[in-house]
Amino acid sequence: MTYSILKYQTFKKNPEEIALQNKALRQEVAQSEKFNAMATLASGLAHEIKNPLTVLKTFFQYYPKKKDDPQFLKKFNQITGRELQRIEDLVRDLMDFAKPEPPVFKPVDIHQVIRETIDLVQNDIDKHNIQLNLPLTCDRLSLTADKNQLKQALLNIILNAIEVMPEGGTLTVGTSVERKKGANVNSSLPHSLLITIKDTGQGIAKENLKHIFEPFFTKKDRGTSLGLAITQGIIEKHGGKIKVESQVSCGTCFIITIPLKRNYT
Amino acid sequence: MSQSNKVLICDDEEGIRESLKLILSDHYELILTDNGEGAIACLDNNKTIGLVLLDVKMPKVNGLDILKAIKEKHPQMNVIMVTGYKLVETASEAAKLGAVGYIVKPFEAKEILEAVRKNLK
Repeated sequence: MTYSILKYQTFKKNPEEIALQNKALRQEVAQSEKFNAMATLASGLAHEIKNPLTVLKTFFQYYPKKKDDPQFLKKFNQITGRELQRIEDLVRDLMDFAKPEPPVFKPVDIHQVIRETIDLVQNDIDKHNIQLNLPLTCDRLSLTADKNQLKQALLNIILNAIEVMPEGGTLTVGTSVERKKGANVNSSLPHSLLITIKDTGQGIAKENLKHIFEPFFTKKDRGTSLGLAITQGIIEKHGGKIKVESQVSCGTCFIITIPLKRNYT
Repeated sequence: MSQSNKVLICDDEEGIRESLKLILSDHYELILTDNGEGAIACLDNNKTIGLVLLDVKMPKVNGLDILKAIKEKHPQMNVIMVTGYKLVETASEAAKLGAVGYIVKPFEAKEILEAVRKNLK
């Protein structure tokens, strides 16, 4: 009934009126989505800050009473320092997410970027007895990118992979080139770079998979819960896409696609 | 039966466990664990625990599922949920599952002491 009335009213209006009405509706939807995103972000931020805040508040409250207890002082230094660092990390990641530095695009060797990123976490890889596979497509593969931002994007995924394999497993970071058929049927042109990062951790449940790039969505023990949202932002600034495939109890695979030739703005 | 003096604290974050320890250790005997399985094992092996302080948001199994498992195995156990989320749905779900209290972070020391004093069996 409602539908037919609306339909009737719509037919009665002229095309300009309908266009204006549609534009207003689109703006309303966009505004409502913006408010929802802001509400999610604010609620996530509040939650992430509540834990360190609770810890700091309690330790500072008990400081006057317990300051002569050496065991308390040891814990005080260790725990308050760590919780303050957590807030600092959160603020830094939030700034990276909300107002990222503009990328500086230069030719980079993606394999060098991958190796340098792995170097940063080699100690963690060894500590957790993780086997590392690097099936890189060839010795050198150039693309135009912001090296530091790309490193940050890969690091966030690799750190997650290490975290889900505390008792060991296999981390595979591979590259390949997607080719596009050229004018000549037998020729093909390099089109996009594919980076795959695969772990053999516990995997991500299907219902959680669609949320993992959302800020503050996490099932992890550590981190600021902004890492994958930042990674997605960086990849998109490179004109690329990121997707994830996962199977519970088997592991997770992130697939990044970045166009090899693109005029970045 | 005399009142227990033993409280089990289950939270995945060391900082929160240590904060609760700081508040309660002068008054009660404490057992600390960082996961739900550990909490259930503690309750199975220690019949003198009189109260559980349980975090809602934990990485592997969430606090509400742990609460459900605790109440199935130890229906008489008092459980207070500790959470960063002030959500009506979570609070009402916790109450439905048998939690006796719901404390929202950042908590006050006196709030914790009062809740434990009231609910320790």
